[in-house]
Amino acid sequence: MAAASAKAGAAYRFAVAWRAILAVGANYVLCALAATALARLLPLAGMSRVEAAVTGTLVAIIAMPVLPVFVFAARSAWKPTLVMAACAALLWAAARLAGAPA
Amino acid sequence: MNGGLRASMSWLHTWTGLISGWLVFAIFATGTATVFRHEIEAWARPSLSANPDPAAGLQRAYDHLLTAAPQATLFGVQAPSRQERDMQAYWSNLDGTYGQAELDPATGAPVADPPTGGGEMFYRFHFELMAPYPYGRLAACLAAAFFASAVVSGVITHKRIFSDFFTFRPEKGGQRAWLDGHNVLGVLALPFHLFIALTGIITLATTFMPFGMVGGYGKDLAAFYADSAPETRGMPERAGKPAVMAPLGPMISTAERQLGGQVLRLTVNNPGDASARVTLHRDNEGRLSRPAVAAVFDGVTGKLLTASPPPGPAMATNDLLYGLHMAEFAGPALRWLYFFAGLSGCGLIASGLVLWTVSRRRKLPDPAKPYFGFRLVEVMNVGAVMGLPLAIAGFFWADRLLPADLAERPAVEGRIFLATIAATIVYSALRPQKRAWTEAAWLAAFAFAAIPLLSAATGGRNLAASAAAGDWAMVALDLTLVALGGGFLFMARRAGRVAAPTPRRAARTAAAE
Repeated sequence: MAAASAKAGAAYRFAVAWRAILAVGANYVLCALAATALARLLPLAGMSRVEAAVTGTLVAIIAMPVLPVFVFAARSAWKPTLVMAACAALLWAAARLAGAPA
Repeated sequence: MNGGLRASMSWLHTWTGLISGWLVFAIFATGTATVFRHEIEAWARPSLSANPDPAAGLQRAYDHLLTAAPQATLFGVQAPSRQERDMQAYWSNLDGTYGQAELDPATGAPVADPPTGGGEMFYRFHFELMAPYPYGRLAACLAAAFFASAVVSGVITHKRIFSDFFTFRPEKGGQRAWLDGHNVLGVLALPFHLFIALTGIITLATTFMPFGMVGGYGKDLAAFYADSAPETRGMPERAGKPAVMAPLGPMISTAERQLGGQVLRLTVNNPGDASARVTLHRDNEGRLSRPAVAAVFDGVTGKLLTASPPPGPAMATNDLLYGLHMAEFAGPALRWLYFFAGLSGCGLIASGLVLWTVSRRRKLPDPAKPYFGFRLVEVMNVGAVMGLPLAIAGFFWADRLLPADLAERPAVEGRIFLATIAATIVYSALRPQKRAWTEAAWLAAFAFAAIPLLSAATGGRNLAASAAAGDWAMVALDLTLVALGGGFLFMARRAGRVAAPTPRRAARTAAAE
């Protein structure tokens, strides 16, 4: 790891590892929550159940490759961590409140 | 990670590309072969003739299965499309067992040729990697997501993307030439690379991102599938009363009028029973989107019961994206475009992988003794970039050379495919890097170019006979294999020259720098 040896140090390695966790793990969780929330919220707006499920899935799949760009573009790792945590909490709450459509 | 946006995107591009590169290369290489999978199927089954009649084939398969699989509770047949010459049939029996066969449209009976994976093997490897379900599919999706991220971050890295497109300086040699090549290949088919990765994930969405489905339906996933294909609703239970099935011909004409296209697939629930249902699916030729539009008939009276309603906007979008990936709509010209775009994707990934080593080799303290990670990338680069073409050629050789009566012949072909990749990795680890590239390229050149000769010599497809019979699909396949051999010959000569620079070339390079 040429970049790592140039900036050797545990702090740098930890920062990279943390962003990788955000970009892969948190990214997937966030997209899964977005798919769930859309599948549950859109029927409340009158969309059919299957349409809502497919819309949620498509949005999640298109967002997934773009999120790592934001995670790694941010100057400080705090920003993507907080933004992703806030979005995840919001989506989780929305999905929870909406409940599974009948 | 440090510095500006482009620096951090360059870092992201490098590492997402490297981590997923070998797997994505394997997926691209087999996906490119899959563009012509029906031609490869036909090549591997030389007893099949060109241009079968789909409706007559379906009728023969229907009659064959009604007698050959009397215990079936369900059977399905895929009729030959424009490129296909065989029919895939499957059935499940009362006792819970399954069966499947390749049927000849000319007779309705199983194909006379020895069992083979055909082009189907590349198609399945492309998204399952010959790994157990669902791990192969998940790995393929993860690799595609990494690749899509690498494409997005790669675009941000290259701010001079437009001018780079017109910049190829092979005479500069070394890293600059590799980077120019990587940029040209990347930009040339950029929309293709991005959409093929995303739509690839969409084809496996229910495995990789099931949460839309689970969120909306909870545990009742059967309801999701029923809502996705409403015509499958209300299939009756087996009545247990034998009945004579209605002829297929009138049902096909009714379905084709109703669905506005040629019927290419049939499914029969409870065949030979009073509760029989015949479902006829329309083809997707000439249509971008890939809906499974179908009409359902009472199997005994032959009366139309129901037909698919038009899909909603989200489902229509999903079907469109799915259809763009599968390219069933595409005629010959567009399929060649998919093929060349796929080849450019292979070149993009291969040049990116090589670039990783080229840009780091100069910084090695002792080039003769690189650190482990560097050597690993070198070995795996040859293993993937040369191993996949060798394995693809290896399939063609295995298909011609394996004994016809070998047990589990298609599975053996698959093992040979994987073993060829493994052998290339081992070989690459044992040889100096540049020799490994050159020697593998020579072998690939021979392995591809000799396939038409091998085939003709072993009683398979014969280039001269195909040309005489006007079977241009088989002629094109043979010539494409020879052309691929030519490509690897060029690569072998090129790599050989780089391995041993002539004094004049060395002087010229020195002068340029």
